[in-house]
Amino acid sequence: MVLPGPLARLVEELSRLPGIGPKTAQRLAFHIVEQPQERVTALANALVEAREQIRTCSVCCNLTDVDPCRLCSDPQRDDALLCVVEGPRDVMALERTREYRGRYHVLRGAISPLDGIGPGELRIRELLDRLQSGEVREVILATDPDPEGEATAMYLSRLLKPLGVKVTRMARGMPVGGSVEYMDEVTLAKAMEGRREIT
Amino acid sequence: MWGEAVRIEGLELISFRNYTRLALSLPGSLHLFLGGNGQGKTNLLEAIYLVATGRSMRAGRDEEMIRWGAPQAEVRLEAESLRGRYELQVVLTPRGKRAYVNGNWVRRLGELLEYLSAVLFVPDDLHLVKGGPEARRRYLDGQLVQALPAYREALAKFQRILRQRNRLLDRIGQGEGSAGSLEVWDAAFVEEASRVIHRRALAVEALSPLAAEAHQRVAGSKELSLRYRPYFLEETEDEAPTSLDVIRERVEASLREARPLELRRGTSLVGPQRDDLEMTLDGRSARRFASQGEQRTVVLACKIAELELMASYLGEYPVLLLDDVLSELDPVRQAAFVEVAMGRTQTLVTSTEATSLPAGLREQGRSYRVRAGQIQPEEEALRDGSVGG
Repeated sequence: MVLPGPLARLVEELSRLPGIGPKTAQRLAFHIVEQPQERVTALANALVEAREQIRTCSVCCNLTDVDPCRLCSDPQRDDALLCVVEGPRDVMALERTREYRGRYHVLRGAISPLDGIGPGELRIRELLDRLQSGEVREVILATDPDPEGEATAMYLSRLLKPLGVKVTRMARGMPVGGSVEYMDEVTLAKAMEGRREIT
Repeated sequence: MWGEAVRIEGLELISFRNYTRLALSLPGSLHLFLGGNGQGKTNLLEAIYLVATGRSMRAGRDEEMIRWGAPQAEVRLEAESLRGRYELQVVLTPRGKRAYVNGNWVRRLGELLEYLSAVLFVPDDLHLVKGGPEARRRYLDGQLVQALPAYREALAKFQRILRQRNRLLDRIGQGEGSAGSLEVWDAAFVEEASRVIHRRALAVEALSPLAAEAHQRVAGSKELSLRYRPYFLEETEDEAPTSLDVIRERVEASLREARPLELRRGTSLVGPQRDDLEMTLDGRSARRFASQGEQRTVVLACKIAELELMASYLGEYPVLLLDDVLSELDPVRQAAFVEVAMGRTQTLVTSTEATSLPAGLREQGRSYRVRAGQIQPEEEALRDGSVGG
């Protein structure tokens, strides 16, 4: 069966989304055209509004609807601490801990020559600008512990250390609440390697 | 005698290669699968290898494992080992593969390596001695990724860093990046490269006496010795360093030295992707001087050593999968191999003709007839009168 034109276009647009293959796109498209008109309008409006209203915070480069974003303008937060992450979702994850009270900087990616991403493609100039004022005393590098995240952390630490700011890297090891018995082997091996003397 | 060993208890295939549907239970320690070429013998071992390692031992795309015209393929295997009983499952679709352990989806296919350990012996392995160094590295990596989770992690990381670094060198060569940007990869490159070399060197130290002993039993003469040769070893150096610190220093120094040439060539010129495993018989290079027969004995000894090393790492013998290799060996070597390997492991053997298998093997194990994606126990096949051709 050949799909009617408008339906085929919808399928095509949907299948451009990450993680959506042709089959899922078809299922979604058929689902959408069977919804009441107002549901579909709400979805379409949500898409357009999100695209129109979400932009990059001029301070931390996170995604936001107000500029500067709420985290940057919150007077309660500690200006001396700056946590550098790869993406907006990392900020959300760290915020869920409700422990960290410093500021964030979002690089919007990690160095990866295979993907054509060099330091120039990341929000590093903005980070350097933020360090100009001298208010930040410690930069916490919280990029992923994979090769790309490590390379990015390495790049930043070389760039930032000469500026006289303290640069730290997030630790890795045993997840809290886990038990040794059920830990996966790689995490265990890494945790063993990073062991510390009890003081 | 039968010590601790991993045991496959049952296997189920759905739309896998030329199998529409197969359910096979595998009680006992020795199973012989007999049948002509193209009937599905290797496919059977491939399915087991797939759930053991997350990948096929054959080159080619995963999609080719799905039976022609079927939307997806499935392999399900039940086994018992020191970990207890477990069920492994791999589902192949045109968009990729997913693995499940006891019905739970596992995020990374590599996690499968924690379960069913297997040693595979295929006719291609007979080129181990004379072939290129990549075959010998694959021989080492194949056992280490199954036995040592930390090695698997280091190797995967190293390979990723190598690809990133090669791309960066290539870009720099085209004037698209500064030589300074290499440095952020170099520290990680040195670290992971050193770990890979260190683990391999230690493994070869343990492997060498096992291989020598196995060789002595199979050949009765000439001393086999294995030595790991990292790329940075000078001609005049006999032994690879086994201290991680020393290895790190050597890798670092070689990287510094190679830098100008790497920038000119646009690719990485140092690292464990250029290492080799040296095999000598009575001190002479087996690659250069071993006869055809000697090479085969060396390969056999290496395979037995692999089995023993994995058993010593894991505390139990892996499953042994022999794909049409016994028939490649003369009766003396066959018998020696059978004596050493069988009885310790659960062994699955494929062969085109029963007559080329060692005498006595068929009495000890269960025989099956493989034909066009169907497997029948030999007794039934005989009863149905479907043997022949």
